[in-house]
Amino acid sequence: MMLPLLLSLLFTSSPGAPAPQFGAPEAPVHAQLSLLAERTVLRPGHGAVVGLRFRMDPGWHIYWRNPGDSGAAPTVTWDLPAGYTAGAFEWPVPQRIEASGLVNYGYEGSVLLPVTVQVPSDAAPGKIVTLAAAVKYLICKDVCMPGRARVSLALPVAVDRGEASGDAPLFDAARARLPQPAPSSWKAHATLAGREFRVTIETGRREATGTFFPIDESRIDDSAPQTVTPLASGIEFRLRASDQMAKPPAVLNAVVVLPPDRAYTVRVPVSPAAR
Amino acid sequence: MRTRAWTFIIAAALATGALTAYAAAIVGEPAPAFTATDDRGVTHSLADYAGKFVVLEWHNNGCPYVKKYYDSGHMQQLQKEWTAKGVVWLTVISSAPGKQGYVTPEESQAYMKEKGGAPTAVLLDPKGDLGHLYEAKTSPQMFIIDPKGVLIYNGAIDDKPTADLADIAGATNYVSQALTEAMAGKPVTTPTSRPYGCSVKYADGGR
Repeated sequence: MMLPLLLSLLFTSSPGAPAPQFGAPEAPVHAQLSLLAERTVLRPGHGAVVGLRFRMDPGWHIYWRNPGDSGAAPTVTWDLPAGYTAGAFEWPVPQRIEASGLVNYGYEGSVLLPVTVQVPSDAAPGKIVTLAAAVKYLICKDVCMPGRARVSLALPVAVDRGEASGDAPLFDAARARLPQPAPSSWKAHATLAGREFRVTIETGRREATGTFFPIDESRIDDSAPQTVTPLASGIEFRLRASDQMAKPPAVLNAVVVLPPDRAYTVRVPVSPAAR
Repeated sequence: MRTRAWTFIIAAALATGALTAYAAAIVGEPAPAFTATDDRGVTHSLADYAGKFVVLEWHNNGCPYVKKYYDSGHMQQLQKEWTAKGVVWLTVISSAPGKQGYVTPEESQAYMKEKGGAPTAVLLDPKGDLGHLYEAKTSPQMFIIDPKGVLIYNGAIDDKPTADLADIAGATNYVSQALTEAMAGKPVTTPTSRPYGCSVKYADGGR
């Protein structure tokens, strides 16, 4: 079956959108946004992997799911045909972005956030379907600007798997940057003494260094230095608690990056420090 | 040109006497003592306001999240409402010279006049001393100190972390909520929240 290139990307700046409020730009600012598909068709009853791509102007950054000391993660309102549902975004490992003593977690350059759209089982083969989303994002350099964009993607419904799209390599690259679930052999535990978390992760080998990215907000002080100690069979992080932490959490959820190229999602139970 | 002395006194506010590495602004603990100068050259010390509620509001006039509250008049309304009830409202600008939001004393006065702002005073903190003492991270970030000098709120202005004016209407204002509850002798429902907004534009090099 011949499949013409139907990945016609519509990237518009919301014509007819209401007048900007307070000079806040309505059009995309300092980034180009697009909605891409990994494959060339939407298959009834299956998930279709699409991705929201940001290409930032040099020096500008957007934010991870937990933005850190300031900032805000991008948000999306989907505009999908009846029966289609979008899952949650997957977030590649962020960068630790430091400026004037504050720390944010985000992305510079470009990033693709993959998400699976479920295609209804009764979708009619041959029909061209448009998936669209209204995106709000905050983009910062030395100053911050709120941006908005409407992105959309038109794909045919087909019962076969179709082909890899021309953008498929971007998905492979994004997947390579996604954190993996922590191996079941790992043991993670944290104590909270005063305002310091001591996180121990037993990975089965000595880890020379690492970075702890908290998934939940207001748990650790993002700008405080992370004291990292290699252990015989793992790694320890000493992390200052956030001033906004109201009560000790039962769990710290985090992405732990172990150079050069390992990144894992870790769930760390917290207990009070032993006396 | 007048020069100004930016004097900040970090009092040994911690009852323990053991100086921890981080004498930050922790809810339930004594608020860090400070002395700072406003845009009219008047000195304000936290100790001057013992017996009163004190609100600290971190400000940056170029930040979209601050504009959300000032261009709509909501921040000014809050300042008027609470100072009328005896609250001391101190707006703090920690932007360093050359950074977004930095203003001279004259520019600060002109801005508040134009906006119809009504804080008790605007404290100018271009070296970031007060900002770092409280570890203010965003604008607007809000702190509330009770009449005993204890910090009772540290966080966002409301529960809708966006730059959209439309979101103010349906938002719970954490500052008003905390002040209302504390004045009625009730515990504060939300004593901390993640401060949202622009990063405070401190001088390069951090602390």
